[in-house]
Amino acid sequence: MTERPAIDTADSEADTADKDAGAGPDKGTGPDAGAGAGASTGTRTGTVTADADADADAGSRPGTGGGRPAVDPRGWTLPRTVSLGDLGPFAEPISEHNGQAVAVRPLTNHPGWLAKLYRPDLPREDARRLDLLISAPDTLPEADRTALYAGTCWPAARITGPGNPAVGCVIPVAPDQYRSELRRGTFSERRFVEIDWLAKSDESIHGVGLPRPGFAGRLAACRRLGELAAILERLGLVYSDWSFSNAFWSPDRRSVYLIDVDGCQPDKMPDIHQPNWADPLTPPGTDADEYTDRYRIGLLVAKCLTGQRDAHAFHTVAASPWQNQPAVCDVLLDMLLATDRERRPSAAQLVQALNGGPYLRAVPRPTRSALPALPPSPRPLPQPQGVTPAGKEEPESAFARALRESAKPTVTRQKPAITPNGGWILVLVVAALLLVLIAANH
Amino acid sequence: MSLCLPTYVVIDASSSMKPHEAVLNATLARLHYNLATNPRVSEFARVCVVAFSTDVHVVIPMSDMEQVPTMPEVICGGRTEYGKTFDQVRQCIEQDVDNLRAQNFSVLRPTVFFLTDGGPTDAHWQKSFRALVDRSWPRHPHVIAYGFGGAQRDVLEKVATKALFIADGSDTESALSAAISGLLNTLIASSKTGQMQIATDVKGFEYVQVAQEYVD
Repeated sequence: MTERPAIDTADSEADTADKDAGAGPDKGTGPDAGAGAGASTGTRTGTVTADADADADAGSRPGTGGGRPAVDPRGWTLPRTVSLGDLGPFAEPISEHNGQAVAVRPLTNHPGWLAKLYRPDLPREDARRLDLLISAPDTLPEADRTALYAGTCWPAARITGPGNPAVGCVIPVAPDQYRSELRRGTFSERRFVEIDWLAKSDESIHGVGLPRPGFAGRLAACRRLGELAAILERLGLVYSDWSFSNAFWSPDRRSVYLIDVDGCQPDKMPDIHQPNWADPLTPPGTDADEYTDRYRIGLLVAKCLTGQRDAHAFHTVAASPWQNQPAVCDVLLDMLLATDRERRPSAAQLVQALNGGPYLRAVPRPTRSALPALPPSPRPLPQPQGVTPAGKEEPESAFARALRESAKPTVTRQKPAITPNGGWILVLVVAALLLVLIAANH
Repeated sequence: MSLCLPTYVVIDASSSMKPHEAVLNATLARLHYNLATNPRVSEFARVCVVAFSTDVHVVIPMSDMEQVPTMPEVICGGRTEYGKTFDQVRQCIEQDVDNLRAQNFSVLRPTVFFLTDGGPTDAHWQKSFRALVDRSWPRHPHVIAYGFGGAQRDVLEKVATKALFIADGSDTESALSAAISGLLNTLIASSKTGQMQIATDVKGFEYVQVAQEYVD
């Protein structure tokens, strides 16, 4: 039998295995760091470019750094460039060896803030990029800036170290509203809810103790995602890392929170590969750009809106079940299937469609590739059984029988609901029996 | 097509594990919880749980763990028969890869996490093992072994084709718990990249790098 090449890919990469080992799903912890009242003075919507006025090296001066006076509506009180020494002691890491960060550590003297410390091999010019990011919200209208600060862990300051202008950055702790108690079986744990869950059915979500989002909850979360994507787009920033693992979801508030945004870059950046998120029109080895982002935000919204993870999400979108958002189907399908990647609709167009607006295009609609094939219906799971090496059925040992019995899923029989009529009949029968008993005793 | 890593958790349930049966089951239940509440990981790593002693038993057939309502309890007792176990795993792989492909998954090389606290009690286990990891069999899996308690290092050095973890004197129950954490971290890291990413920092274990795929 000829095997597909994919089965061998694990081999070729396996020796590089150690670098991210142990990285867990949790990214950032702690109490509220949401947006406060706007204090920044910028009102212009700007695009982040490499020409922006940022002095990367100035920050290497201890103490004052080169940052401007802190005017951060989230309450960051130090300058936008700080040295390691300025920050005071760090608490134990909440995450280690995760992507570009060697550690993420809470700042003991600044509750609600974290130091994200980068690998030492990052390029020196990264300091300039970080400064651009940190100052980018100043160029936004008030509403966008508030949304960006409330919905992302936007960096507040660049951290400098001896001989290194970009040791890391200061980011806010994700707000506690994004934590929930996830229950399954006898286990329960309060932790951040990744947006991954929104790409599951309402039943699955309810199965771990979270409230069912319904379409309204899904739509609200997708609007927030789209709005954040549109803000990044207006800033000319590429995120590339749109996926299930980089956003938290609050089922109660129907909001989302993007993490790892300090990796954003102007115009283009190395394509961050995540399985099942590959843009078919961004060849491996090439940079991700705004059009890659458009594909990925489209994919994320399609999955979260439908609660489906595979090709079914595409087909559900194509069936256009949303009467109050009639343009969403076409916008999403163009984001996902346009054969010309540069004609993928923008995040702003997606937001407009999610808000019930029309799909306005300055250019003709792109041609689309075909919908992906649907997988066949899953086969029923084979039952556990005692099997010999030869595969023959043999009389089971007590051990095998015990295991087989224990392997049967526990089924709790639901008590049949008593209908109103059934209830009355039961009451009458009980009353009659009581009367007979009373009569017999007299 | 979605990527999928067929994952086999193969656990020693022989009589030497009997005193630790409760911890073993609690640890497996924790594994189930962590997989079932991480959709991205359970989507990527389809898991089959196999317990072995005198007999071999597929406790959970290859499944998306989110669909498995509860982890069945394993009952320990009997000998430590490696040979039957490797035969069973080979048979499972053959069938599971077909099933996963039929569901449009792009299937990565299967990975076997082999957890044992003792040496094999069957004399001819190596023949079955060679058949399992035979490179001429296109579906041959990676084997990552965790040894604790009375596990024999020289034996596990033959079994591990990808990584070997030997408990550094930790008690069996702590080692068992740490091994499952290591396994889980490996699956979480691998689900992020779509490639095998072995969590080598496992509390209470010495990580032994495997220099070659396997040793005859």
